[in-house]
Amino acid sequence: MKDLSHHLLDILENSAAAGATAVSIWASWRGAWLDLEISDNGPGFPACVRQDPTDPFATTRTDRPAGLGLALLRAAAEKTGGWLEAGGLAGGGILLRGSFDLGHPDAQPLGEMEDALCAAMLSWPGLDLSVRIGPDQRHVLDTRAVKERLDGVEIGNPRVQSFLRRLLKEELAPLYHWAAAIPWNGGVSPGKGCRG
Amino acid sequence: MKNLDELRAIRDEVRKSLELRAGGQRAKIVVGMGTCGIAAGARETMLAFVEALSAEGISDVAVTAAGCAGFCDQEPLVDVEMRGGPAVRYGRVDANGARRIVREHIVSGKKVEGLALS
Repeated sequence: MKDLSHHLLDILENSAAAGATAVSIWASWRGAWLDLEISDNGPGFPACVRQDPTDPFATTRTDRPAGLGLALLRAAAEKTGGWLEAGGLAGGGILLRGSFDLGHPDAQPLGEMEDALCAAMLSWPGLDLSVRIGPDQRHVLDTRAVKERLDGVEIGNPRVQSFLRRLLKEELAPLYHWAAAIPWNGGVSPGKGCRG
Repeated sequence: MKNLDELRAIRDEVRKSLELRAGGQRAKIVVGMGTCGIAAGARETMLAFVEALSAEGISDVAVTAAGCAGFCDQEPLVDVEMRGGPAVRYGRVDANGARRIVREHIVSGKKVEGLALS
């Protein structure tokens, strides 16, 4: 995965494939650290992967004995000195929590989060997304409220998606501004490089 | 979220446009959105389809997703099903490929040679 927004889309695919109908995402920050918390209302991790869902060889797949999604996200966190833990919620569903040091030279950039969210709305229109950002947990997306206003018109309609993509980019601006101020974020040296 | 009320105006526009094109969907585009597809660029492919359809003024084509089909080296995989016709599978479809598929397959009804796997 080339950036964290692609990991996010992959996690949403896992939730949709598991039969979840709602996912809650909270992306916050402190210093150069990105804290991510994702939960869904699906059936939770099955027994065969419950011990360590981030182990690539613990998978629900039947066509091959490996599943890479969570393992790749854990690797993305750990190579920055961060961590990722995955577990179940008491009432069912999963809870992912992790921290990423975006000031680390090996940190992956955030990427275009609005594109990940729009692709998820197109791909799994029945999956409701609730997205909050920042320490104040400001809501930037609630697809239930969007669908209520659309009143039967599909959330994946190109005209609707074009509007939501623009709106989300504006709503996510505080997250992008925070990340852009971190030296090294995106793998770009803050200095002038060897030619400087 | 602010500005959500703008959605009501968009909803009304979309409804009008769908009424004008009553008759069901012309086609369905299915993009492989498993881990392998996402890593290979399926998200960019899917959004390129939506932009290309929007640019052509096409609103009777559904864009949706499927999981890993097992041909990971050919991702992003795309299946195009025209109404009443057989499904055509395309491999390694990037944003340019998506625009070609809309122009040549969806609009002109011709399979895109060089991208088609079936």
